[in-house]
Amino acid sequence: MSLLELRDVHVVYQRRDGTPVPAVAGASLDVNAGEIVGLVGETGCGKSSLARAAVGLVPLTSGTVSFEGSPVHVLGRRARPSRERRLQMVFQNPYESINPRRTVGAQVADAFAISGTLPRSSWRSRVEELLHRVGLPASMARRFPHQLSGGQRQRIAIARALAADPAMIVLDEPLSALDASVQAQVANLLVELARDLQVGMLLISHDLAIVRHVAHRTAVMYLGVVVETAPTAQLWRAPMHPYTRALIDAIPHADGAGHLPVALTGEIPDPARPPSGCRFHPRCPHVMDRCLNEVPELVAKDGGRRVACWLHEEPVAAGRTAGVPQVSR
Amino acid sequence: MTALLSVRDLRVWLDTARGPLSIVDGVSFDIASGQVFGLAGESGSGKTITALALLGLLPAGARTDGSALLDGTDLLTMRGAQRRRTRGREVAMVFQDPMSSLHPMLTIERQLTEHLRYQLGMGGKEARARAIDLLTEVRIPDPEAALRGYPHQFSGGMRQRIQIAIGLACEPRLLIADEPTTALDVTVQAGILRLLHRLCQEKDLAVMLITHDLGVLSALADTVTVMYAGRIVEGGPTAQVMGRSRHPYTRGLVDSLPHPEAADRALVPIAGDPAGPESRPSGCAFHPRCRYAEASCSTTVPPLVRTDDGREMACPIDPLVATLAR
Amino acid sequence: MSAAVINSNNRLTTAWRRIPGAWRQPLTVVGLVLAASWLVVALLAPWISPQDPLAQGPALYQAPSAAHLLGTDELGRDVFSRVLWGARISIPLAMLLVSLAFTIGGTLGGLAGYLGGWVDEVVMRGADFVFAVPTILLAMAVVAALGPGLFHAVLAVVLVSWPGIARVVRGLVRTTMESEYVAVGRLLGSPTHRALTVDVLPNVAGPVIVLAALEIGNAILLLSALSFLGLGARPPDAEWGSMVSTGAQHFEAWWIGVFPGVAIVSIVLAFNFLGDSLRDAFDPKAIIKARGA
Repeated sequence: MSLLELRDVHVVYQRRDGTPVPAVAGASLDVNAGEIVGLVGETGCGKSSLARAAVGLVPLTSGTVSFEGSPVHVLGRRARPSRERRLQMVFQNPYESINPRRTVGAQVADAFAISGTLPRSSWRSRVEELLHRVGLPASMARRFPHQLSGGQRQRIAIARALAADPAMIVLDEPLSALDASVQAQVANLLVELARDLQVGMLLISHDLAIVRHVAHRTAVMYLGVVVETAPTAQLWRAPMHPYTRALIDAIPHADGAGHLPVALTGEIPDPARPPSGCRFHPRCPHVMDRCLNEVPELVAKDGGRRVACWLHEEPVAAGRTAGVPQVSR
Repeated sequence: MTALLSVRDLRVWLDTARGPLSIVDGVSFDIASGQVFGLAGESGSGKTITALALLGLLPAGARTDGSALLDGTDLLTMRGAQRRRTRGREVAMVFQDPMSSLHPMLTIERQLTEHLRYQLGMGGKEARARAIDLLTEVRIPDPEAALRGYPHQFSGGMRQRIQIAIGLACEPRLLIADEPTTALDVTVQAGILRLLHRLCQEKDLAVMLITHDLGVLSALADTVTVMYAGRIVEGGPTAQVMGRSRHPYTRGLVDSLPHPEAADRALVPIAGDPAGPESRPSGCAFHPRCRYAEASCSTTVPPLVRTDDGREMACPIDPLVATLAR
Repeated sequence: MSAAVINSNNRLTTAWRRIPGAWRQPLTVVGLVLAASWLVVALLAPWISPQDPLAQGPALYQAPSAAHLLGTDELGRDVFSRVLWGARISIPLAMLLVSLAFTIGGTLGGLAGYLGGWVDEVVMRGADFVFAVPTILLAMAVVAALGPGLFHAVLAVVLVSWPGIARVVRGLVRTTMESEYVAVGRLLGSPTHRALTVDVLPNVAGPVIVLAALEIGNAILLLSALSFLGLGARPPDAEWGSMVSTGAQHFEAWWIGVFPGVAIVSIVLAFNFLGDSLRDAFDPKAIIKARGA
């Protein structure tokens, strides 16, 4: 059993006018200790919603999220159960996820200040340890966030999560707001932490290229569903789903050779009105008749891979009808 | 070939309470007609301010020095009516976030035809017809219906195409694109890159492409000029600058990028953070982060040296020595 | 200050240069000096005023002279002394008023922002009701109902002032509670009430202090207005508003109304300048930054 298990998760939001928007329409994912799983996808694929549902920030409409075998609770007014504090999250924008009016050290110490597991006298040294762990000098503890750069702030956010001694961290686009030269620093830090502390990570990103360097396994999402998962190297070498192929082909290479990346036809549909059958079918270069009517399921293939595509000829799961999400059990 | 745009020793600084704050510190370059000129740099490099200076869109309190000759006329010293005529007509700009650069409360038709009527004096029907042509050129499906729409009804990629259409409305000689695809998904970005490529080829349009994304530059730019902390550190044909970078910063930038062909290697970041205008180090601004820094690097600003192969570089460290040490 | 003075290196200018830039702006200095001066005057009025403000004398409607620096009023009282003593009425009352308004408005706004739901609805509709009526009219109505007098005037101004504060506090509390760093805290195991003290309070404190400075000026103005209309201070109190009112009836003896009026203007300006400069001082991004260049 995996450390973090998401099974057939659905997250439905309500728009202002009442229309339900299924941001996540049946996604399943596993993350193990010490493993970095990259979750990639473009706008509207639901990866951020999935991340928030995984930690309990937003409620699930249906499906399950389990951490260390037990279901994850949705955050209410009361304190989060201490067992679940080992499941942490790092947000995208380091300028918004840190309180500008408190010192950095105070915020890093929050985890043990709240849990009371560490005597007050040890707080300072533990904060310094954590800062050191993320590659920052101990003197930073006294500074305020506005005195720090984006990369430094993101490290603080990571230190803050580490203070809770997590077994799993969900990171929602942690590198997107950073400069290119700094992204590599933080990416390397994440790899180090996963390896040294055996922390599992779910890394959400729209940047496939950097996920390739960081993640052991990669999952691809499109319009609310996971369409493929595979060990990263294999995903790149031989993508199975046409959308994965399209994503890879669209990445421009910084080699100066002047090749234009391949564009994907069409636009991302409105999540509230997804296409029938396979959601990708209107844009798929290999579309077949079957794809318009039957929803492909995420099926296991050799080598720890899963893909949801009729190209790879899977039998129809009984009871599936076009476009209608599964009723919650 | 005489250059379309010739910038010499451009300086931009702000007068602050603590004294003058230099943002762009003596930048010179040429852009020829039909050339895609790539300007690369991270935050604090001054690349966006350079572009804004050319268009006269600098924030209040900013001062400029140097010259920027577009076909002989200095863009920096233009005032009033002449500047308004140049902006949009000779030089146009496309910004990063189309949501904030398109007026949210005006229809697309209004935003497109406004330029045509103001700059070219077109009548209503003629402007509308041209607007439809423009939308077709940027591949907006169903242009007639699109004219009636408002920006929020379009996706990010579509909005960017509309912005490009507005930029090209009066057939400018130079299009400045500041991070045109940074806010877009990679598949959408690919479409915009192809669009820009096609437009450049068809129209002999010069493009100043400003971005931190080396991949985008690699796909589109003929030449790449790299800026760091307000100065140019390297420049030359794209393949040379990216494939065989000379300046330690460029080399560091290229190395820190995930290489599709080298996925098993760890990323090699540049230590430290990009220097901004307030914290510009003395001498060579990159020296605190540079692997090859020597004592002289912190005291003297290295001059930009031009070499025969059309490249320029601002680093006294012998490139061959540096390459061997790599 | 001339460049020569700034460039000299004596102790005064060195100390001046040590004050953070945000506080060295001319308007801040003016505001601070004026406000401080009036506070000093309010404290020391009994000792520094030349005459008893209530003492009537034989010399009525005297123009400003050596004996009476700002002249005398319709009952022979020294205008200068009355102006000085006026500070003892207006300033403490304004501060009392602002404290009350902020306590009520801050608590209600904070509860509304934190609890949401029906509490939010009730508080905001109450605030809307007060906003719907022109301030001075509502204040007048309240005083009319309670009876004239300074204390009732204070209550009236508190009543019309709390909604503005409540709205600001509610907005700040809500924005902060919805911010990402509060979410981070919740994920770390913090109950929501901890978020109030640790995250919300520091974010709310700054804008509230700025608002308080500005509201003192407002309060003084409203109190004076009510007294001007005869609904606040009662004779023979040396209150600026009522002095202006008297002055309006005796135009030819312009000094009776003008000097109290100037006093009101100067103190309101002082607190407004102070409020503005506090706002700038609290903004961590005070210097123009060329980010994203």
